Amino acid sequence: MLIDLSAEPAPIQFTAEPLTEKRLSDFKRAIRAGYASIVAPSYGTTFRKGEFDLLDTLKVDLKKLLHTDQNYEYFAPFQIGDIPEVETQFVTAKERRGMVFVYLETRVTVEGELKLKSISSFVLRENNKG
Amino acid sequence: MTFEPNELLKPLEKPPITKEQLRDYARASGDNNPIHLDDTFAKSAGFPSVIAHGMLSMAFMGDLIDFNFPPSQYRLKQFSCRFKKVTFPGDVITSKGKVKSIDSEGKITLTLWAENQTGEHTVEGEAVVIRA
Repeated sequence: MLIDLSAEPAPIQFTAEPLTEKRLSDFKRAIRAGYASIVAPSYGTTFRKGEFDLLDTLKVDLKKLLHTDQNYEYFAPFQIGDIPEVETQFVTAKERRGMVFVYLETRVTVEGELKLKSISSFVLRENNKG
Repeated sequence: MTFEPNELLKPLEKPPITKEQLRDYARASGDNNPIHLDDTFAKSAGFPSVIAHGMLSMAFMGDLIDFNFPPSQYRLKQFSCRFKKVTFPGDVITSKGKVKSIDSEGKITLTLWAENQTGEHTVEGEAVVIRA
């Protein structure tokens, strides 16, 4: 079994770590960013805790998981000092040719204002050869 | 600064990916999947060694956008990537792109891709930027 869909998992909500200069610069150093804005375009990846929790609830084996697509929609820029509220929900899972495609959506708000929407897509398969 | 449809963006080559970088990235991003950190685990998943986070390549591509469209002048509205091929420590990733279209309101749609040292596309994507 690649995924346990016996019950649709409840959305995961959490408060992310505040955006500090150190956290933003640690991220930029890790990606060896030379030109990034104060907040790197893919900084939204730091809000994926809910995704990992949902994948765990779905009993997904990380050895069989590959991230296939990532989509960000930006509604307002993040600022230093922001304390993001994050909600991640299971969208759907589709089985095709022995593989399972999983879609998760994350919305990030700061003081009620939607700043970022993210859709992450994954494939689960028995043999994970790139 | 003006752009034209089909105009190529200035490419951006990153230094070779290292295992140390994958550890830094795991810490900074919160993605601690052992497939990126532990060779034994990665081998049991069918890979010859740890594989780089796909999101690291997307981050390189994000830097390409900022390089060509300085955040002081442009605002990123959408950014999407499809991970086509896994990357490994030692791989040299170069992000490239071109202007796909510009609409009447000045919204610029970009076609993006990342290549490894043998020219294979590892990531393909699209982004939309507007004037700030």
